[in-house]
Amino acid sequence: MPSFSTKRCVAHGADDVDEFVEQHLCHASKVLFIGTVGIEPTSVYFASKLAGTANVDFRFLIEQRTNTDKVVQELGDRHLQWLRDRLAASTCTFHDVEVIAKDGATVAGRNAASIASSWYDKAYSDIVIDGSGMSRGICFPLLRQAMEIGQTYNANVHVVVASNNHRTIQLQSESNDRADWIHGFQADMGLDAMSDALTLWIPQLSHGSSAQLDVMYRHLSALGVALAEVCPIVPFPSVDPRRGDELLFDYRSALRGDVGDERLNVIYAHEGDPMDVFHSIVRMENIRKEVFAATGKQAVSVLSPSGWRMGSLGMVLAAMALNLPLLYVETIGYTTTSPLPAPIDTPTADRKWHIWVAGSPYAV
Amino acid sequence: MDNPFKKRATEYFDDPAALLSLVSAEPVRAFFSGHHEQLFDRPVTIVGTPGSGKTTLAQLLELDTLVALIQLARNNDNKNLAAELAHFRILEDLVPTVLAYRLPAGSTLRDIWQLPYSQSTRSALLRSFIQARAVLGWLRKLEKVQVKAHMVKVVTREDLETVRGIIKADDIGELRSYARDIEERIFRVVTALAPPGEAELATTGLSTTYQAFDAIEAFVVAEIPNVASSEIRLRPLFILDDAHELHPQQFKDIEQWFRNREMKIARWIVTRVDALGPDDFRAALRDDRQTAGTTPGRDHIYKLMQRDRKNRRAFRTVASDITKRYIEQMPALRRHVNNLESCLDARVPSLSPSDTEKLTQRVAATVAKAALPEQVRLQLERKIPAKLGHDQRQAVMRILVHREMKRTPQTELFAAFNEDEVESAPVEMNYTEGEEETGADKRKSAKSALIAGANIQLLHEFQRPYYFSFETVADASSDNIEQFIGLAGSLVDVIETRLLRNQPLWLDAKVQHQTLVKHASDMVAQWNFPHSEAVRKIVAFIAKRCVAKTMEPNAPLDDGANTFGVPQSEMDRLRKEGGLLIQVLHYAQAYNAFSLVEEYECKKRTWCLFELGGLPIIANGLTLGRGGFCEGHVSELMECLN
Repeated sequence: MPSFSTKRCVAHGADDVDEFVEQHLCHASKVLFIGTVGIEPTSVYFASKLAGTANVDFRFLIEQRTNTDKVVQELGDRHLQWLRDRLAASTCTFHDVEVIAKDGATVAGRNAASIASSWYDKAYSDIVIDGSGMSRGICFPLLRQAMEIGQTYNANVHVVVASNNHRTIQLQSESNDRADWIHGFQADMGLDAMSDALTLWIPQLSHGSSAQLDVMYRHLSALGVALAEVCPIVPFPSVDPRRGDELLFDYRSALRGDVGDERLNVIYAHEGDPMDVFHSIVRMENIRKEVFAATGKQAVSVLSPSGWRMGSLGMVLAAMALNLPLLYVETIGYTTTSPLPAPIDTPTADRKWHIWVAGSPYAV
Repeated sequence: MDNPFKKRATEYFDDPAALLSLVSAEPVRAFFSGHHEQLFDRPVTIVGTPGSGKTTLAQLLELDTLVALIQLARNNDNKNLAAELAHFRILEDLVPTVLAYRLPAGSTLRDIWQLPYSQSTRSALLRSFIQARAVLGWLRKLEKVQVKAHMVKVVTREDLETVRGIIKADDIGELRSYARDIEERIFRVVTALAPPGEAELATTGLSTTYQAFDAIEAFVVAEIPNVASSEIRLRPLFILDDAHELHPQQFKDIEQWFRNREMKIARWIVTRVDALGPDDFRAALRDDRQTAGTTPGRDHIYKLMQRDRKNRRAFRTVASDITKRYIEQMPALRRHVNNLESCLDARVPSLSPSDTEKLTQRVAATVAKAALPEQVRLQLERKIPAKLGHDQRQAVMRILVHREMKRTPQTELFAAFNEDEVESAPVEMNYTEGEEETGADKRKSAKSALIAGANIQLLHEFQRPYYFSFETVADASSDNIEQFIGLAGSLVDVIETRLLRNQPLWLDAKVQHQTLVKHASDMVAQWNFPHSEAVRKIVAFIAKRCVAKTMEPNAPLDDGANTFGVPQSEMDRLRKEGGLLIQVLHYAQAYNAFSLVEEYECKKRTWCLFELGGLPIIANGLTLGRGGFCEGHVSELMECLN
C-alpha cells in the first residue's frame, strides 16, 4: 500500500480519533494492535477502546530497564493486570523487550523489531502502532517496520497516540551516556561520505533533558560532521503558554555556549499538534534543499525527538517522509518521589491523534 | 573566542587553530616520555576518564592539526608544542611523519554485535568496516591539507602483493572507491531494520575480511602544500576512540587483532577505564610505572591518562600551563591577569574573633576535662609549631589532648616538628607499593597531615575556609583536565565579574573556598550518567562515614579519610555474582566519582578501596590527601541502593 507524503497525510485529532476507532478499526476485517504496558494510564487508552472487539489481536511489549523504581514497577504491573482483566487471553500476548544491554548499549529498537517480526501476517487488514506509552526508540522502528510490511501485505498502517496534559506521577528519568540513531532511522549518518555534509540539528527541547542534549551534541561533534546550525524546536502554543520560553531559559547556557550561538534559530510548534511539527520541518527542509542544491554542497538535517510526545510524532513523520536521521538518547530507568496514584478504571486522554501512515487513502 | 573555560570538551572545536590555542605541551610530554618509539610499533590502549585528555591528544595528531601547528609554529604559544612533537619525532624538520585517523566507535560498530550472525562473521564485518573507514579517513585527512590524489602512493608490504591487488592500492581512486563500497555495503547490513540472513550475506563476500591493515605500511605524498615541497613518508596511525562503547567481546577481539606483529600501521585504542577488567587495569597501572623497554617481549602497551594522585606536582605544571593559555584567549581578562595563581590568595585564613573565642573555650574545657598534668600540657603546647595561627594551634592542641586522653603516645611524632616546615606540601601518603618514603619524609607528612586534619575539623565546626590556592584546585582535579577547567573556570567567573564591577581581582581564601565548594556540589548534583542517582547515594554514604572518621576528636587518621575499604574477597565475590552494584561501580569509576584501588595490603588483610574523586571530596569537606580509609563491607554499599 502506498504511504503518506509531505503533501498528503491523513490525520485525526481529539474526539475524531475515537470516532475513527469505533467506525473503522472496530469494523476492519482483522487488526494487529501493537502497544506497550506503560506507566501512564493513557498507555492502555486505545486498548480499552478496542477491548471487546473480536477482530483485534493485541501484542504488548513490556520495556525492561535495569533501573526502575518500585512505584513505577507497581504502576506497570497494575496496567498489565488491567489489560489481562479486560482483553481475551486468546487474542492478547505480552513480550519483554530489553532496552539497554548489560554493557550499556541501546538495543531497544533492534530487539523490538526482532520480536515483532513474527507477529505480522497477510491476514491483517490494519496494523495499529500505539505510541502512547512506548519509548521512541521502540515505537519508531516498529512504525517503520509496519510500513514496510504493510506495503508487502497490502495492509493499512496507523499510528495512534494518547496523552494527558499532566502526568499522574512526576518521573525523573536517568538517561544513557551515549547517543544512538534510532534503529531504522540512521539514513547515511556514519558513512565517510557524510563527513562534509552541512548538518542542521533540530533537537526537541524538554524539561530536564540538558544532559541528553549534551550527549547528542558530543556524538555529532565526534562524528566529525560539519555541524552548521542548531535549531531547537519548542512547544508553542502550549497548555502552559510559558513552557516554550521556560525551556529556552533552561537551555540558555547550552544554546549560547557549546551547542549553538544563534538566538533566533528556534522552531515554535503546537504542543498538541504533531502535524504542525511535521509541516514546519518539511518547509524548512525544502528550503534548505533548494539553497544547497545551488551551492552543490551536501546538506542533512538531524532530528532529535525528546519530551512532548506529539512533537516527537511529528518528527518521525518528517523523518519517514524525507528520509532524515533520528538521533536520541535512551532512558535507562525511571524513578519517582510521588506516591502511588489511585487506580483508574476507565482511562481518559486529553489529547488523541491518529495518523493513517499507509494504506487505502493514498491508493488513489 | 568565548570564555574557553566554558567549553567543556575539545571535541567542540572544529577548527585546528582554535584547538591548538588551548592545547598545552605538558600533557603531550607526559604522554610520550619514555615510550614514543613503542607507541607507534605495537598496539597501545590509552585509558582515562572522560575529560582526561584522550581525545584531545588524538585530535592533536591528526594531519590537519599538525599542519596547522606547523603553519603557526612561529607563534610563541605554539613553539613549545611544536618542539615537543619534534622531540618525539612526530614532526621532523617541521614536516609531519604521522598520518592519524581517529574513528569514534559509536553505535554503528556496537550494532554489529547485535546482528544475528555467528561470532566469526560479526568479527569479520567489524574488522572490515574499521579498515574501510580507516582507509577512507586517511585519504580524507590528506585531502583536507590539499594533497591531491595523484600525489599519493600507498606503500604495502612486499610479501603481500596479492592483498595489495585486492584492496586496489595501486590507484588511489580505486583504493578509495573499493573501500567506500565495502563501507557502504556493511553499513547497509548494520542499519537495516531486518538484516539479511547469514547465508545471504556469505554470497555478497562481506563475511570475509577486507585486509588493508595487514598490507599497508605507509603513505608517500609528493608534497603537502605550504608545508613540505618534497616527497614525504607518513606512517599511518589508526585511533579507535571511545572503544568502551564496543561490546566487551568486540573490545577483546580488537585488542587481540591489533596484537598481530606483522601489522605495520600504528594502532591505538582509546577507552574509558571501565572497559578494562581488573586484571587489565592492573596491567595498565604496571605499564604506566615501568620505563619503556624494560619488558622487550611485551606486545601491548597500556597508557593511563590519569596517574596516581601521588604525581600531583606534575599535574600542577600542566594545570598552570593550561590556565595561562586559556586566559590568553580572554582579551578583557588578560590585560589584567597573566595567570590564575596571581589572583588566588594562598595565605592561611583565620577564624573570626568570636569563633576563635568559642574554640578557645571549647579547647580549654577539653583540657580541663583531661586533667593533664601541667608539665604534659606545656610539653604538648611547645611541640606545636609556633608559626601556626592561634586557631590552628588550638585545634591541634585539642587533638593532642584527646590522644593523650586515649593514652596514645604522641611524643615521638611531635619530636619531629620543626617550625620552618609549617604548612608544607600537601600530604602525600601512598597506597601503592614500591615507593618507600624516608623516615624524615614520613614524619613531615604525618605532621602536615595532622595540621590538615585540624584544619578540616575547623572547616566543619566553624566553616573556616579549607579549599583555596591554585595548588588545591590542581590537586582536586584528579588529574582530569576537564575537571580542572571546571573548577578553575568557576574561579575565573568570579574574577571576570569583579573585573566588570571594577573590584579587586584578588580572591581571598573564603571566596575561593565558597566558589569551589559550590561548583563541586553543583557538579555532583548534576551528574546525569547512567546510575548516577545510585552513585550519588554511595558517594554520600562514603562521605558521611569519612566525615565522621575525620571529626573524631583524636583524629586517628590525622587528616581523616576520603576512602572506603572493603575486604578484597568480598569484592571478588561481588564481581563473580554480578548484579546492579557492579554496574553502578562501573559508571562511578568511569565518571571519576571514585576510583578503585584493589589488592591493597593493610593490617595484614587485603582490601579493595573506594577512593572518592576530587569533586565529592570538596563537596563534602574531606581531605585531598591519601592514606586514610574507613573499613566496611560490600553489604553496606548494597544497602545504599535499596
